[in-house]
Amino acid sequence: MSPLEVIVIGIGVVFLTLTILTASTYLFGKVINEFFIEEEDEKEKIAAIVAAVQSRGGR
Amino acid sequence: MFEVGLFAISWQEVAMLTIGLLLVYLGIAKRMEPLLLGPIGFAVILANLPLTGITEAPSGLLYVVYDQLIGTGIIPLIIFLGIGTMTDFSPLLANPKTFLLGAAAQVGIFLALGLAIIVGFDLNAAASIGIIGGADGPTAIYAATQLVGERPEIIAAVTVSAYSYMALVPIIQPPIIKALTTEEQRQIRMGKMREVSQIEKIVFPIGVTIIVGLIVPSALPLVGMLMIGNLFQTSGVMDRLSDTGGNALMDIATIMLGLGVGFLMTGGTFIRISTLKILFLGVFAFATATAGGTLFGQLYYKLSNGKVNPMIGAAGVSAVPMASRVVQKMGQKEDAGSHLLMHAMGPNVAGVIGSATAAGILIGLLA
Repeated sequence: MSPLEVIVIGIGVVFLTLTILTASTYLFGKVINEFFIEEEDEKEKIAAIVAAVQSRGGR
Repeated sequence: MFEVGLFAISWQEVAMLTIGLLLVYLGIAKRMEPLLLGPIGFAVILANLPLTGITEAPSGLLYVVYDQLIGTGIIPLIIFLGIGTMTDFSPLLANPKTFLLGAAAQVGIFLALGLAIIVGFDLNAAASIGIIGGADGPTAIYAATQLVGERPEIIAAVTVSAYSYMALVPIIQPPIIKALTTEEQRQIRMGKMREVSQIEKIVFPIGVTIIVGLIVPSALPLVGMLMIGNLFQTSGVMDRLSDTGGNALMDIATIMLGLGVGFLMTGGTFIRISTLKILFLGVFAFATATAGGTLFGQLYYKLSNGKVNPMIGAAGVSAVPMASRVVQKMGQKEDAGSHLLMHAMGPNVAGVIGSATAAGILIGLLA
């Protein structure tokens, strides 16, 4: 394999890999924020309210 | 028969003892990467005292450490695990397009590879030298052991070069960034980043491992160890593993790395013209990596209608967090109210993945 081939393939594959990672990170971020986060927030809010009530001796 | 070392010492060993003392001095007195230069410098002293047998096969201490732990690539990989436990990918998750700035900075690796061929190195040695441009010590050592495992003189020079230039980031980068940006551009403020959820942080290391493993299998040892360390940290339920990986295990690996590199730095292997060439090529690799990232930052500046400060591209070299600090400092020098640190951390941590990927590609093509 010639040095030029190594350079071209190397730069190309680095950009290809990190472009795919960019797109995947966007995609997964969007899906997670769209479908999972609100539900998690609600659960956290409920848990926080329950903890606050219990800490005041409530049930 | 008993022999006195004093009468057996060569001038090369005296020179290396001086270098060892200098490294210890720089580490302790000047605080330049003390956790690395301390053990490396002391190991250089150990390795260059004559007649000790400490570097000789099959049972010399430094030989065993190098042969079993560095030459096999285990220690650089364990260090990568430790780095993973300490790395916060949130800035990258908040702004994933900065991944490409991390890719752009890897151009320095391949330009240095080309120049190394021109000055007379063979392709495998040139590839190991190019990786210095990734500004990542463990990656440079791992790649060098895989590409030129039988040539300690190349591995030693690449290692010293990679770690030296990482420590010199605040000196090498600013003039290059300044030359490639205008005063007006350096003053650009960037807005607040979005919050990143815990789920995103947990999914990220698993996703990156699978994607990189499928595209560049030979990069998986490095990227996989980085990501398992990161999962220890982000999961929130593996605190003990995260703590051990980032502290005790990392410290053990660093000590072993120091001893192993010291083994490589004996007079016979280190005092050569090729070492000087590699040190020069290392600066070139690092400078062109900085330039590549900054020029790609200029592209982002144009595409964002001037909202992105192009300096953050320079942080695409993986020296974390020094490169980000350089960008932050330069930004604040132009505008005291500018806060670029977290924006620069995105390309900075992307650079860690980028340089590991580049090393994996070169290993896959040439090893």
